[in-house]
Amino acid sequence: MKLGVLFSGGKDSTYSAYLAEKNGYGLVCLISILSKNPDSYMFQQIFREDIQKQADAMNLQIIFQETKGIKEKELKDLENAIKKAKKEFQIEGLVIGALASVYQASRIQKICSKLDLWCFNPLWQKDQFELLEELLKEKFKIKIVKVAAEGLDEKWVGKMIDKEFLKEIKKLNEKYKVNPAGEGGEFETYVVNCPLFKGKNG
Amino acid sequence: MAKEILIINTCKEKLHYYEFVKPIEEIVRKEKKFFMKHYSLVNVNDLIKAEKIIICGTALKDFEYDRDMMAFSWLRGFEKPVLGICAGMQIVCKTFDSNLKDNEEIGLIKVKFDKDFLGIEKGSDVEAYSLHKSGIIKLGGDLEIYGKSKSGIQAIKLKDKNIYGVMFHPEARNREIVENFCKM
Repeated sequence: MKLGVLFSGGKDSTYSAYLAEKNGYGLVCLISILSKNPDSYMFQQIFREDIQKQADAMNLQIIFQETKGIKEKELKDLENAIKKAKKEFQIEGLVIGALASVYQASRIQKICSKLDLWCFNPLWQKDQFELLEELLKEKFKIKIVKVAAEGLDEKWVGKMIDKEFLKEIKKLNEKYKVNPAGEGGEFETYVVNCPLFKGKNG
Repeated sequence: MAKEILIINTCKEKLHYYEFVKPIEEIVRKEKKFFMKHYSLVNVNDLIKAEKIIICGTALKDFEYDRDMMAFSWLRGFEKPVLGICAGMQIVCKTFDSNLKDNEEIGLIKVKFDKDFLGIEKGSDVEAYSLHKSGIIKLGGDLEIYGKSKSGIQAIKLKDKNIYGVMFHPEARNREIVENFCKM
């Protein structure tokens, strides 16, 4: 089955793509939404050049879609991008990396249903500490690129996710209830390297 | 023989295991020992070994199990507790003479419980996560409705047996339903 990946360049969508490939599915393209709204519930703010580097490393084509990030209207932009992936790359399904957000997952499921595409969400309901531990075990090199939660200050930006980070985030989780996977936007990540990056930047 | 819960995977696609089966395994793991099998591989020894059975859901586009209902013929005479989730509830309902029709529901819904149901008290209004293409239009005579939403039947039980079904996904909201099923 040919799959597209809704890709932000962060740990969740990259790891979902990795699980799809590991299970024998063919990844044919990435779909990345460039949102102008830093507070979107749907999309992390990402930069074209950073995503392009990762796409090159995976030898994958990429569909960029700009959106103003206005609630619900951004869904139409997402739908258009997925439609384009279906037409240009004949994708039969979409891989996403939602862990616990019913808001995100249900909206993407609706779009996939409308476009008659399979939807794969392999991190759904995954324990967040388990996810971080798996990422380290699978040799993902992940950088923190943005922080926005109590207990997480600017000194965290640029840090790599490693065993030390795991210890710290466990403490912050106990003290401030910071989501260890950053899914509530507490922090955002960028995958610098991982087993999927076999191309020119891999 | 150690008592174990059999978790049945109904997914056609291997990658959907992570989304529809693994979250159930993680809830059950905290309560009981379990073993997991794809529905097409379940045999008599598994049914003897199982203390209880959970039949998991699958993806919106996946109806392979529906074309393979013979694989669930054991359910009609089964005496031990069963919990069907989404596709699993549809399998329970079809086995016990219900009819289904297209009725896509995706997202959060309100479910009103008219009877006590696996720890949810009678009269409760519960927020639940739904992800399904089909709904029940006619419930078989041996089944009873325990919970309903605006769009239809959401929770059922077989009269005189501990065979339950929920149309929504308790692994996303209402995990206690799975926990209480394990504990009962």
